[in-house]
Amino acid sequence: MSASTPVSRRQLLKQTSKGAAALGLASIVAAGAAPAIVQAKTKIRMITPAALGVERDLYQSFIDEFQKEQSEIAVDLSFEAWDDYMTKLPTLFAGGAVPDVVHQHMSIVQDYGSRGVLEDLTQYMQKDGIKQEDYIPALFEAFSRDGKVLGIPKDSAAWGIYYNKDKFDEAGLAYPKDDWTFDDFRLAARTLTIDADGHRGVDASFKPGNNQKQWGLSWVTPGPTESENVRGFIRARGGDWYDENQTQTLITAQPALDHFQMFHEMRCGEHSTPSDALSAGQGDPFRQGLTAMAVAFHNMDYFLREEKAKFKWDVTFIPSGPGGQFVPVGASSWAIPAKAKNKDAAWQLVKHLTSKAVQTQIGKNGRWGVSQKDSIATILPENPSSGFKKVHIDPLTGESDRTVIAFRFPANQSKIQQAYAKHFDPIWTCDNDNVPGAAKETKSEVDTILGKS
Amino acid sequence: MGMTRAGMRRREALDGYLFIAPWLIGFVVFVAGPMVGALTLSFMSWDLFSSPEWVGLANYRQLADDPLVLKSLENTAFYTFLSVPINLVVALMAAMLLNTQVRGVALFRTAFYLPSVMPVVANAVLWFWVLNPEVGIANALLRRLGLPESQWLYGVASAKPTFIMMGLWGVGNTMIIFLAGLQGIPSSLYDAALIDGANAWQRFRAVTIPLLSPVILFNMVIGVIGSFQIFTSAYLLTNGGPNNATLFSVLYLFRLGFEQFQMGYAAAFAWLIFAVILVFTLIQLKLSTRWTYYEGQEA
Repeated sequence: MSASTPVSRRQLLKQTSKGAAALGLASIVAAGAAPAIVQAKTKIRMITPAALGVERDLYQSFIDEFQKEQSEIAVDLSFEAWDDYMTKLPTLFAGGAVPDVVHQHMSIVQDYGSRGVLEDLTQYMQKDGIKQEDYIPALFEAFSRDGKVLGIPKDSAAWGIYYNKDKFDEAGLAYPKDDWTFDDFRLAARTLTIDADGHRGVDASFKPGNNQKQWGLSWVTPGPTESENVRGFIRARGGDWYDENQTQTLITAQPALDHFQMFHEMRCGEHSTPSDALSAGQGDPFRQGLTAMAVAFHNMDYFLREEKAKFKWDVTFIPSGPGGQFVPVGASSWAIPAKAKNKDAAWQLVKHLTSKAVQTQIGKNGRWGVSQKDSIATILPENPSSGFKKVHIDPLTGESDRTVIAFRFPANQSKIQQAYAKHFDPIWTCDNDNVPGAAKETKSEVDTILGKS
Repeated sequence: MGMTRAGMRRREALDGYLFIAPWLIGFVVFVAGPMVGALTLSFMSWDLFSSPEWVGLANYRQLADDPLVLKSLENTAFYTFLSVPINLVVALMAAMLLNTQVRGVALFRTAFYLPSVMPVVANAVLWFWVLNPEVGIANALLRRLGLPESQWLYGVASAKPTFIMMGLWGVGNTMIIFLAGLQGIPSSLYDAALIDGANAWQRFRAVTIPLLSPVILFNMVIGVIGSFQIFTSAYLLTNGGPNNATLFSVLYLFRLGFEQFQMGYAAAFAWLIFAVILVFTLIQLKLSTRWTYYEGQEA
């Protein structure tokens, strides 16, 4: 046994420093001795938001397939949670660690596009014969800016109105017709609303309150900041959110005022749609049976099947109006940053991820939609409800007389959201009834934002 | 051969610097450096994507014209000036209770402290359920007692008070510091006060409070600094709503920087928040000379 030797602080520091230096040197040598084959590959970095589980597994499998086909390209794939992605992406750009392939939802793509940080993909498409006509026609509108293509659509979501057939039966209401109107829609929502004592919204004895048993419609934020789906309502009324060139908003026009007024009265007067407070934390109110109708795309059908819902359901179009009847469609895209280091390799990956083979696999999963016209039918489930194909598929393949519309969210969405929150939150929380006043104030601020975009 | 006294002092100093070097390097790289960087940025316009441009004091001028800056500072001040005193009182009361010699006191101390080590996200989720106006137990309890229900986080008037109430859940940190302070008060002082005929309130006012005053000051300063930086719970639970009622300063700062890509402006706002916190801290320290008592100091 050796006797212990006292170590001074100086000796301790000296020995520790030597150890650290040796480790550092060893790691440098090891890095230099890495197999040459890795260095020969073109490395690309891809970042995308994705939910844990199926979505990430699916993406990973597409990347694995790609790397098998393109053995000279190595993909470093990074998943983020949705909210984290929105923060991490600009931080990566700011730090100069620009990924080669990025996910761009239609609500943010103009923000990035207006700052010139996304590559125009037109020349790549032309070179490889990728045609916009192969995709759902409306989608490219959302991902284009000044004639440039900022992203290739990767999925789609065609919106309609899901309804609980059992609740319609209980109320003795006929199921919605395909060409139903806003009056039909509003009356149905009232009739399907039930207070604590079982009185329906159309009864004189109806007493609204926090403990209502049921609401007619799940809340949908009626402004243009949360979802592309509300554009279907305002277009049907003959209005729109913005003028053609997005230089001003049209929310003080009568169609928009009527639209806002209807949702305000449904929530605050008729109580046929629950407040955020009443529906919070209970999962999807429609799937939970708290509401009889919901504006949703085909993943509602997917989840109802997955959860083995105890009620019968179907889907129909968003109501028609003097402006027509519309099927709003949403999407995300794959984009290549202008400062990406390996744009050609990145394009190969984007092409793969939006190819018919991959799109078909996505469609078959049932949860997500597809962007290629030829693959749309793959989302059709077994024993579909009668409205599924009519609402989610036919309009996208051109086999419907309903008009498919996307939505080009203007740049500076966060500022626009802020303006709406300031003036319209009190309308939706029933603290203010002055819809025209809120619209006027909002328009003033939003037009200023658009002027600077 | 021995070292000279001066040589030993130099060596001692060098050893000292070497030992604090890791912290010092961390401070310079991760705190002081970014602060200087943020100060520089505050004079620039930078959208994160293109090169920053020098704009002088424009960002600071813009702060004065931005109604949401004022709104967020008002919200934060409301939260701070109510939550800090309430937290201090509750923490002190809890500490005094836990300073008594009762059976199982260690268990109680652990139980009271435990919530403050819970991750903020887990706390937020817990409160989200408790305060759910439709199915939460808070309203269920009010219903049972025949009291009016609240919209809690969803009401413009109730949202900020709800955050203040939620803050009490994490009172354990403050409480544990009070507890340490209480245990440092010599029992002989209480004995002397008892002999002089002081009742419980008089002992609390004349012995506990003066001797605990440096600890109260510490908790107050730390509490004000922390409250001015409230972010995570508001980001997770309300994201500033309803109607900007919970748009706290740091939440708005985050929105400016990472959602609106106005990083220069956000940096200017960060420095404004820093200045506000600094001013309030200095005021507290200045005023504290009137009410804090340190051992050895004349009363």
